Amino acid sequence: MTKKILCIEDDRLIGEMYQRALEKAGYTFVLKTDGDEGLQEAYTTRYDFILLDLMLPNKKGDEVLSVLRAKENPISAATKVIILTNFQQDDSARAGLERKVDAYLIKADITPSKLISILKNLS
Amino acid sequence: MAIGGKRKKLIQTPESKIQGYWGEFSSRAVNLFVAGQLFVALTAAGFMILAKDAQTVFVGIVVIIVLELLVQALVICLVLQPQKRLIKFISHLVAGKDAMAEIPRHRWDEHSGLTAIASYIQSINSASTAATLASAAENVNEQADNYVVNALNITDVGIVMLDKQRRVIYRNTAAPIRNGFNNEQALDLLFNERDSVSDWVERTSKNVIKATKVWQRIPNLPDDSEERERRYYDVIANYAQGEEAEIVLAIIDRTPQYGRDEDDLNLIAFAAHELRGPVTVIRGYLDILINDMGKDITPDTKQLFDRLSVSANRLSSYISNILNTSRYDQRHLNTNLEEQTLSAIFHSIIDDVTLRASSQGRLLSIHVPDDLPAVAADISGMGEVFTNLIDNAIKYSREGGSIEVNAWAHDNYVVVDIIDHGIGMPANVVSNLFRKFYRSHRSRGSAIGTGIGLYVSKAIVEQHGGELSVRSQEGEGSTFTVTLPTYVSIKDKLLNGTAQNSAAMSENTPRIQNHGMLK
Repeated sequence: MTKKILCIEDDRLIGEMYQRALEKAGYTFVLKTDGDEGLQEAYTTRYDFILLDLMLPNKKGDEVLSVLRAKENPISAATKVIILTNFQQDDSARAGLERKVDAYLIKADITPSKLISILKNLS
Repeated sequence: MAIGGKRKKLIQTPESKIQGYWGEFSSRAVNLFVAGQLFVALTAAGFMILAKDAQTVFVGIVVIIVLELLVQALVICLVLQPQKRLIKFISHLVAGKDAMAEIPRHRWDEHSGLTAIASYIQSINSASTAATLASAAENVNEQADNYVVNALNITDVGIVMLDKQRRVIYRNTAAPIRNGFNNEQALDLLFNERDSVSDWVERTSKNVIKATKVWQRIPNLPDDSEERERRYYDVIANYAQGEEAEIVLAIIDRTPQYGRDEDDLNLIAFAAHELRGPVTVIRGYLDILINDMGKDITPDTKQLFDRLSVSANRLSSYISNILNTSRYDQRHLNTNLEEQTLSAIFHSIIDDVTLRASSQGRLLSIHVPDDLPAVAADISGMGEVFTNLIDNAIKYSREGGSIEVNAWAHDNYVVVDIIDHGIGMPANVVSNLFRKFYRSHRSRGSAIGTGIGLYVSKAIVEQHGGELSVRSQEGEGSTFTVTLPTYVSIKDKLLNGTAQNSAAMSENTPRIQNHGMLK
C-alpha cells in the first residue's frame, strides 16, 4: 500500500519540488498551501506523514500542530508529523516543538533524496 | 581595721546606702536630739544646785534658753536642712533643670549619705532619659524601615523573598510576580527546565547553608491570552538556610539590553529564513534533476551539476554558520546533547563532504571506526563542525591533494584528526585562527570564506565539553583535532539535567552555556 503524505507548505516552488520527488518515490502526495486548509485536510484523510511548515498563512504551523496533537480529537497517533521549516526559532520554542513531533528538519539543510531516506527510517 | 572600714565604705552602692539611710538618719537625729536635751537638762540641773540668788537663777535660765536654741538650731541644720536640699534637688530634677548643680555637697550631707541618695536619684533619672532616647531611636528606626519599604518600591530592581515553603512572603512593586494556582503568588519568570530557583535550592540546600546564584536572560512567562511584551531579567538568588526569608531574589529588568539583542537576532533569523528558501529550491531541484537524468547524464554534465550542488550546499552551510555565530554571541546557542556515535555523525554529512572534495579535485578519506565509544553530541551541530573543518581543509590544500579524517578513542575522549597536506600556516596565524572574521593571509587571494567557520566550530565543540585545536607547519599542511568526551564519562551530568540549556551559565563560563557543566 502506498504511503500517504500531506504537505502543508506555502511556498509552491518548495511544495511542488517535494511532490515531484516523493510521488516519484511512490508516495501519495497532497499539498496544501495554507494552515487552515492543511488542518482540515488532516482530518478528512488518514495520512502516514504530515510535513508541516511553521510560517504559514491563516494558521501557523505550531498552532496546526497543537490542534493535531490536542487532548480532544487528536489525529491518529500513527500519523507521523515532521516539521519542515527554514525558520530559525529560539531554542526553547524549538525544543518545545521537537517533543511533539517525530522530526524537526531545516529545509535548506536537506534535499528531497535525504527527506525520502528520513521518511523510510521513520516508517 | 581602718583600711577594712574604708574598703567597706568603698563598696557601698547607692542602693545599699539608700536602703540603710532611714535607719542611720533617724538614729542619728534621735541621738542628736536626746544628747542635746540631756545637755540642756544637765546644765539646768547644775544651775539649780549652784543657784544661791535670784540673779544666778536668772542667768541660768538665760543660758538654758540660749543652749536650747543652739540645740534646736543644730537639729534644724543636721535634720531639716538636708531634707530641704534634697527636695530642692528633686524639684530641679522634675523641672528638668541641671540637677547636678544642686546635688547636696555639704560635708554633713556627705556624712549623712544624702549625697549618695541624690546621686542615686540622678542615676534613675538618667536611666529613664536613656529609655526615652532609646524609644526615640526606635521611632527613627521605624522611620528608616519606612524609608526602606518606600525605596524598595521605587527601585527598578525586583526584590522577592521566599520562605522555607517557597512561598512569596515579600515582593516589591518591580518584582515580576503573577497569581498562580489557588491565587498563590508565583514568579513570572520562564526558567529553563530543571534550572529554576526551587530546583537550585533543592540541590544546594543538601550541601550548603548559604549560596548565591545568578541567572541571566530569563524571560517572563509567555501569555497565550494576550499579546504582552517579552521582558528579560537577570536574577540573583541568595539562599540562607533557617532565615525567615530563606531565599532572597534580586531581579533586574534587562529588557533594554537583551531585547535589542533579540531584535538583532530576529533580523538575522528572518534574513536566514528568506535566504534559505531559494537555497532549498536550488538544492532540491538539482537533486531531482540529477536523479531524473540518471544514467543519461554525461560525465561533463555531471561535473557541472556537482559544482552547482556543492555551491548550493556551501551556501546552506554558510547560512547555518552565520545563524549559529549570532546565536552564540548572544548566548542563544544551546545544544541538544544525545548519545551518538561518530559514524552516525559522519554518515549524516558524508555525501555532502565527499561531493565537495571530489568536485574540487581533493581525495578525501574518512576512517571512523564503528566501534568507537559513543559521544554526547548534537548531531547537526557536530555535523556542521566536521563539514566546516573538511571545507577548510579543501580550501587550503592543493588540487589533487589528499585530506584524511582519522578517529580513535583515548581515555574518556574520542579524538578526530582532520589532516590536510596543503599550504599550512605560520605560528602567528595559528594563534588568531579561531577569532571571529579572521581570515588568514592565505585566504585573501584564492579561497572564499566568511571567516566565522572556525570560530563557530570551536564554540560548538566547546559546548560539547570538548576541544578544538590545530597544529600546522607552513608549506606542509595543518591538522585540526576535535576532542569530545565519551557519552559514558558525562552521562551522569547529562541525566542530572545540569548540562541542559543554560544551567551552567553563571556557575562557570558565562559565554558557553553547556560547556561549563561538562568540564
